Amino acid sequence: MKRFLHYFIIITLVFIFPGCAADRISSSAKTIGNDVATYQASLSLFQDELKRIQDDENARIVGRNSRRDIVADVNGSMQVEWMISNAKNATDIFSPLQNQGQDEVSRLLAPVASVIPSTSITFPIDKLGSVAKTMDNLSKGQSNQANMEFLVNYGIIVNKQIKALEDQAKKNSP
Amino acid sequence: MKNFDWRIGHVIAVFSVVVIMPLLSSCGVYLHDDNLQKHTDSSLNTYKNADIVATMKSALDAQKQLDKTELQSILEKETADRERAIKDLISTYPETRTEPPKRAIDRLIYRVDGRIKQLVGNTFDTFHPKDWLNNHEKIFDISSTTDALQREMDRLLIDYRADGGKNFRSCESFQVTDNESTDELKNKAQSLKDKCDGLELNSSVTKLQKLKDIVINANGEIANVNKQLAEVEKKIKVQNKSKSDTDKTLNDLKKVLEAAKTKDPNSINTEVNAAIKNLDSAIKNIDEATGFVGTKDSSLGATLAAIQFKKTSLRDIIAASSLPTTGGTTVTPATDINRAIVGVIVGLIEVSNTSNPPSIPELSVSLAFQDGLEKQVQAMLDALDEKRRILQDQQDSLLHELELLAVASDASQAAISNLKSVSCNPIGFADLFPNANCSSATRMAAARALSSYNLSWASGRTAARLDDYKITQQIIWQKLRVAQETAVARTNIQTIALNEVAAFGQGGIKPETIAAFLQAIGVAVIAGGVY
Repeated sequence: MKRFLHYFIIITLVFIFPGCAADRISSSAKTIGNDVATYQASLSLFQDELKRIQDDENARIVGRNSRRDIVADVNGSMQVEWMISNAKNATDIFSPLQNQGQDEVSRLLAPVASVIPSTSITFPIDKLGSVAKTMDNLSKGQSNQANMEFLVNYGIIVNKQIKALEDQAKKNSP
Repeated sequence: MKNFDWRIGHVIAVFSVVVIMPLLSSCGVYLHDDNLQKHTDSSLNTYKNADIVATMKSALDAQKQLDKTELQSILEKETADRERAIKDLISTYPETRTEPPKRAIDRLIYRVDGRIKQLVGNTFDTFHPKDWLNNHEKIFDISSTTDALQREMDRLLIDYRADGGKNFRSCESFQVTDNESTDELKNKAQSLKDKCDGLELNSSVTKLQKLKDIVINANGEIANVNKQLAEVEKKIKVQNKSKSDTDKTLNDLKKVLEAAKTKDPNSINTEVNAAIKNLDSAIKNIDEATGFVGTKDSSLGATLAAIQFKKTSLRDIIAASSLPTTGGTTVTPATDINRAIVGVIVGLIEVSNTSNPPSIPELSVSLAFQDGLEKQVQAMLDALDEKRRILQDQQDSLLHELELLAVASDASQAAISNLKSVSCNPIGFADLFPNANCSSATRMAAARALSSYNLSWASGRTAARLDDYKITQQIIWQKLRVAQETAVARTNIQTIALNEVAAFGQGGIKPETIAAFLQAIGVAVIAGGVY
C-alpha cells in the first residue's frame, strides 16, 4: 500500500502540481480582493462624509431650536404680562406667575436634551476588510511546500479511502 | 498482497497519465481542497453578513429622519417668530417706540410693506394691493361656471340684437343707458350687462396671471425662485430631448445592424462588421460626451438612453440563452455572433475581438453593472424632477403670501384713516379692539389686516421657507441616492464574483470519489487477468 501511495503522490506531483485549486483562482481572487478593498475605502469615506453632513445638520437643528426657545420664552412672557395686566383680582395675578415659575423650574430639573440623538450609521467595513484580506491571501497562491503538503495529505486520504473500500469488499466477499 | 499493491500502483499510474491528468490539467477539473473551501465559504458568508445594502438603507432612513427633524425645527422656529411678531403688534408696550413706528397700525403697515418689497423687488412702486384682492376666490368660483356663463352671454346678445339693440361693442365698453328704444330692450341690455360683469370676473384669471408675470419677472424673492424654476425646467427639457434623440440614433443604428445580420446570420461579414463599428462608435461617443455616468447635468438623458439600450441588448441575449434553440422563437438566439455583438455594445470586447464572445455569466455581470448605472442616473433625474416640484411649490407659496399681504395692506389702509383721533389712537392692537371709540368698520378692517398678515406668514412665508430647506436637503439626498444605487450595484457584482469563488472552493474532485473510482478500476483489471 505504501508503494501505491508513493506512485500516487509522485504522479500527482508531476501532473497536477500546476493545477492546484488554490493556484487556479489566484488571479480572480486578486481582482475581487482589490475591488472589495477599494469598495471598503469608498464606504469608509462615505461614512465619514455622511457623519459630517449629519453632524452639521444636527448642529443647525440644535442652534435653531435654542433660538426658537428664546423667542418662545418672550412670547410666553408677554402672554403672562397680558393675563396679569387684565387680572381682576390677586389670584388672577398670582396664578399665571406661579405657572410661569413652575414651568421654568421644571425645565431646570429635567433639562431638555440640547443634542439630537446621533443618527450616524456604522458600515461593517471591517468585514469587507476581512474578505479583501482573504482574497489577497488567495491571490498569492500557495508555496511549493504547501502544495506538496496538500497533495501528500490528499494522497493519504485517498489511500485510506481505498483501504476502507478494500476492507469492506473483503468483508462482503464470501 | 504485495503483488496486488504493485499492480494497483501500475494501474493508477497508467490511468493517471492517460485519463485523469489531461482532464485535471486542461479541462478545468481540479482536486478538492478543504482548506480553500473553508476560506472561500467564509469570505462569501462574511460578505453576505456585512449586508452593505441594508446598512446603506439604514443610513438613508436615518438621514430622512434627520431631515424631517430639521423641517420640524424650522417650522417651530418660524411659528415662534411669527407669534412673536404678532404679539409685538398686539402689545402696547413699550410706548416709546421709534423704529419700527409707534402706533400698531403703522407697525403693521411697516411690516407688510417691508415683506412685499422683499417679494416683488423693484416693482414695489407699481404694486397696487387692490389689484390682488380675492382673485383666488373669484377664480375658484368662476372656473366651474365659465362655459355656462359664456353660452348664456351669447344667447342674451343674440336676443338683444334681434330686438334691435345696437349699443353693444364689447363687455368693457357696454353701458346700460336710456337710449334703448323700449323698456324691454333696456331690460335685455341690463341682463346683458350683468352677464358682462360675470364674465369680467372671469378675466380675473388672466388678470391675476398678468400680475404674477410682473412680479416673477422682477428682482424680488419670487423672481429669484422663478429664475431657478425656469432653469430646472429647461434642464429637464434638455434631458428629455437628449434622451429621445439618443434613443433614435441608437435604434436606427441597431436596425441597420439587424438588416445586415439577416442576410448572413452565421457570420460577421463586412457589412455586419461595419454596422457594429458604427454602433460601437456611436455608443463610445455618447459615453465620452456624457462622462460615462452622466456627471454633467446636460448629459443625463443621453446617458440614460445609452444605458437602457445596453440593458435591452443584454437582457435579450441572456433571456435567449435559456430558451431552446429550436421552436420558431423570434428572440435573438444566444449564438457566438450575437453574444459578440452585445459584448461590443456593452464594451466587454472590442470590435476587433468578436471571435472571442463573452460568456453568458460575463454578460450577466455586465447587466448588473448597467442596471446599477441606470439607477444612479435615474436618481439624478428624479432629483431634478423633485427640485422642480419644490420650486414650483415655493413660488406658489410666495405668491399666496403676496396675495394675503395685499389683503393686509389694503385693510390697513382702510383702517388707518380712522385711527388718528384722540380717542382712537392705539399703540397696540390690544388697545384697539376693546376701544368703543374706534368704529366697528375700523375694528373690522384692522382685524382683517392682522389676520391676513398672520396667515400670509403661516401659509405662505413658512411654506416657502420650508421649501428652501427642502431644496438644500434634496441636494444632499440626491448624492445619497446615487451612493445607494452605486453600493447596490457594486454589492451585486461582488456577490456574484464571491459566489463563483465559493462554488469553485466547494468544487473539485474529492478524495473519496477518486478512491472509489480507482478501487473499481483496480478490481476490474484484476478480474480481467491483466497479470
